[in-house]
Order: sequence, then C-alpha cells, then structure tokens
Amino acid sequence: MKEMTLPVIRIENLSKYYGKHRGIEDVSFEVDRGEIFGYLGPNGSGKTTTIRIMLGFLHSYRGDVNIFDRNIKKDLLPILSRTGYLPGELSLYGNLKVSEFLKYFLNLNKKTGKNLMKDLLDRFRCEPDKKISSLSTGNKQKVGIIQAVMNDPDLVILDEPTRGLDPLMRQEFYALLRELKNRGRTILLSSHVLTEVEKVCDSVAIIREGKIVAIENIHSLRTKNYKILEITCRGLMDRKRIKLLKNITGLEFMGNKMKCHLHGDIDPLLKALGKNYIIEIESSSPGLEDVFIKFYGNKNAE
Amino acid sequence: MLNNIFLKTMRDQMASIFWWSAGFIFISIYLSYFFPFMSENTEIFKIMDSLPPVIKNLMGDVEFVSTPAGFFNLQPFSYFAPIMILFYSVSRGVGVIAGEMENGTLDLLLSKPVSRSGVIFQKVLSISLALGIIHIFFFLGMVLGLVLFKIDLNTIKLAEAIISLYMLSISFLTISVTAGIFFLKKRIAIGLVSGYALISYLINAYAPAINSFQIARIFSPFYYNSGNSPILNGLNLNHLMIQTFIAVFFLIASILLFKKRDLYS
Repeated sequence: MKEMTLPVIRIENLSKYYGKHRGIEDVSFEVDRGEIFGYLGPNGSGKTTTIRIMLGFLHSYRGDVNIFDRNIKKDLLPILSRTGYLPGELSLYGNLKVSEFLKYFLNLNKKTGKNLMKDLLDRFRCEPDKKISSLSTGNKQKVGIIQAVMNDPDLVILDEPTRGLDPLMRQEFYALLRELKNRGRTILLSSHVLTEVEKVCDSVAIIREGKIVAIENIHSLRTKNYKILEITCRGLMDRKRIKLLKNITGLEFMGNKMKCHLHGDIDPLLKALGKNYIIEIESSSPGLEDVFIKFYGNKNAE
Repeated sequence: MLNNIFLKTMRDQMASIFWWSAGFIFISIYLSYFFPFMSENTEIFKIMDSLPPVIKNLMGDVEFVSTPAGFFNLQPFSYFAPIMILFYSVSRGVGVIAGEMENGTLDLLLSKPVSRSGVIFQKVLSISLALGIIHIFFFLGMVLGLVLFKIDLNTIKLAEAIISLYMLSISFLTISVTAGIFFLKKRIAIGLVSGYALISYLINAYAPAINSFQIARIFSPFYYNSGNSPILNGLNLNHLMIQTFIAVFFLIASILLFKKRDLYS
C-alpha cells in the first residue's frame, strides 16, 4: 500500500560524465504510478544515458535512482524483474524464430506471461515462426515492443519505440500504451518526436545538453507548442490584419502565400483571411529543437 | 533449449560442437593411419636430422618421434590440437560479452533480472561443457584410431594429455572472456589474446633450446600443458593446479571487471 503513494521512479541529482565530457548533470524527476511520462530531447541530449543508468548499464557519478522505492545500486534485479525495456537501438538474436526469442526472454524474466505474448503477437500481426533475421526493421521493432510488455511489467521503459513502425502499427502501439496506463502500469517514453509524446503522455521532462530544462504537464506543453502553417490563397491577403493577430509568430509573405507559426486555435487567422479564396493549407508540427529554441533557449542559456 | 543463458549458449554451439568433434575424430584417425608410414620412413628422419638444432629441439628427438608416444606427443598434442582448440576457446570466450555487445543484444539481456556475474558464469560454464564434449570426442577418435591401426599407446596417459589440453583451453577461455570485457570489441580482444597465445607458445616451445626463455616460460600457459609431456609422463598435478588457478583467477577477474564496467550504447 505504501508503494501506491510513492512515485514509481524517483531520480535525484543524477550526474554522469564521460571523461571530461558531460553526459547528464543533476537530472531529477519523479514519475507516478499509472503515468505515461515523456522524456524528451534531441539526439545526444542525455535521454539514453539517464535510461542506461536506471537499468544499471552505466554507473552514475553522483545522485540516486529509486524505482519502486528501491535503490538501483542495491536492488537492481528485483527492480528489473518488474520492468520492461525497449532499447533505442534494438538488436535481436537473428538466428532465433520470433516465438523462440520471446520464450527465451520470458524465461529470463522468471515469470509466466505466455497468454499476453500470444495476444500481443496477434495484435501486432507478428508471425511467430518467422526467423528474426528475415524480418523488416518495423517487424523487428514490433517484436521488441512485445518482449518489453509481454510480462505485464509494472514499469515499461521505451526508448524511441515507434522507430520503423508503419502508421497503423503506431496507432496500435499508442492504444497499447493507454491500456497499460489504465491498468495502472507506469511508462517512461523517451522520444524526440514531439507529436508522439503529445499524443500519449501525461507529463514530460525535457532534457537539453544533459540538463533538465523543463518538467511539464502535457497540457502546458501543448499551449506553448505551435503549428507551422503554409497557406496559399487566390489573390493577395490582408497582411495588416494578419500581422495584428496575437497567436501568430514567424510570419512571412511570399506573393499569394504565407507562412507562420500558429499558437492555439486557427479560427482568428481564418477570419483574418476574410473573403480570400483559400487554395491550400499545409500544417506541420515543429521539430523539438524548434520548440527548445523558442521556449527554453533563453532559460538554458541562463 | 531456451530456458536460461546456459542452455541458449549450448544451443548456439550445437553445430560447432558437432563439426569440431567430427574434425577431431577425423584428424585423430588420420594421424593413426599416418603413423606407420612415419615410423618406417627413414627418409623423414634424415631430413629431420639435418634441421638446425633449434628446430630439432622443437620437434623432439628423431628416434623418439618414431615411437607412438613420441609421434602423438608431437602431433597432434604439440601443434594441431592446441592451436585448433585455442581457436575455439578464444573466439567463443571473447564473444561472451564483447560478442553480445557488438551484436547489440547485451542491453536486452541485462535488462532482464539476470546478474552480470550470472551471465558470465552461465556462458563460461556452457562453453566449458562444449569444450569438454569436443575433447571427449577427440579422445574417442584417438582411441578408435589406435584400435583400427593396432597402435600401442597407453590410453590412460592419452586421457591425461587430453585433460591437460582441456585445462589449457579453459585457461584461454577465461583469459579471452576478460579481454573481451576489457575492450568490449571482439577484434581487438581476439588480436590481443591470439598474440599472447602465439608469443607464449613460442617461448615455451623454444625454451629448451634458448636459455633466456627458461624463466619466461613460467608465464606461458602452454608450459603447464606440454612442459611435462603428459602423453609420456602423465599429468603433473602441480601444473594441473596452476592451470586451474589461471582459469579461476581470470573467471573471477572477468566477473569483477564486468560488474564495474560501464556499458555504453
């Protein structure tokens, strides 16, 4: 019962250096039970270093990692027996069949989860009799996801989990995450794809150059986030009126085209376009690095 | 066969065990077939007699080579068998951790509730068993050859020579595991252990002819295998204990090193 009230993951002032080079510095965050926690950052920011320390692959220079209220330095194996992990750079045993590989890892977990394995194989349309070496990157990723959750672990750590997955399987994966959350499982999802994190996470920590620059509820991140819009109209737009809009930044006009960053709802912009005949609206999400620069660049510089 | 790391490692070696055992059986029978020609061929003795003293020392007394014990002491136990068996030991030993690391599978393995010492212990035990099986077939092949070609050789001493060879292979297995963990790169570790094996082999082989090598040969694991010529003199228990010490020392060293080692992606 005590565990119910304590955070599943508690990381305090975690630091790791690679010789003179920085790995991570004073990283601290907590993840509660039943939470999907996004761990965001560009490549090389320190996400994987944090995860590798959590799993005991790397030794920290300073700081503490407690999972299930147990310290990883003292109780690593009991922690791992309740944890599923999908590495960012997944490699499997190519000489095994899918079913053999999964059974092997089930056995290493010393828990029976065979029913979950079969369900997951069906769900992700994996062929158990296929040799792993013959699988595509996406199918290997599916096998990796299955091995991470087939034991029904209390904590799942996923490092760039949707790499190589097709859009349909990505949706299936997001649905799986929601189901795990509903069953009270805790998920740490490391990613540099902001849209993915927005879709499934409850809160996020953003790491940049080895330091946590923000820990936010996903709602707060959403409001700070923006869309990149490219609008093509027939004829010229009312530029003055558009420039007055408060939820538009980065505005550029190119003849009958405009490009801008839209914060929040699109309705004011559409109204500002007035009676213009809109040929096309292209919308895309900014890269995470853009969000960093926009919202955290100054903070980090301090 | 996939219940634990020990059995998985055995499963991965099944084909190798079969082919290596078959190879040793074949070469053992072939050598027994070849021995009568060798012992009766005076031309070969003349050639051997004309070799430089250092080389002659390496090959042993010419007349002695014409006896079964002398012949088999020279071949396979001085050249072919140790070199071949070390090829297996070193490549498998280095692969215990460095192989998993290079394949990228070590992360998944260590994310399961298995201790680092457990991974090494189970894998080393499995490779040791595989080496044991290969050595048993080597012994059976030798016995079969002796029977087929009616060669008189003490099979107890033959078994003792094979036990000594087995301990050599186990020593190099644990040395290779340690090197693999230290470098976490197979090529570098294989190169280093192979280099050490070659140098220590030559030092031991030339020690009877070169005085300055006499002291250096105590650092050669080959000395504790062939220094006493077990096929002639039986097992030297002191040498056997030192071989065991080397194997256990490097097994413990590999476990301690692996526990401290940071594993980068």
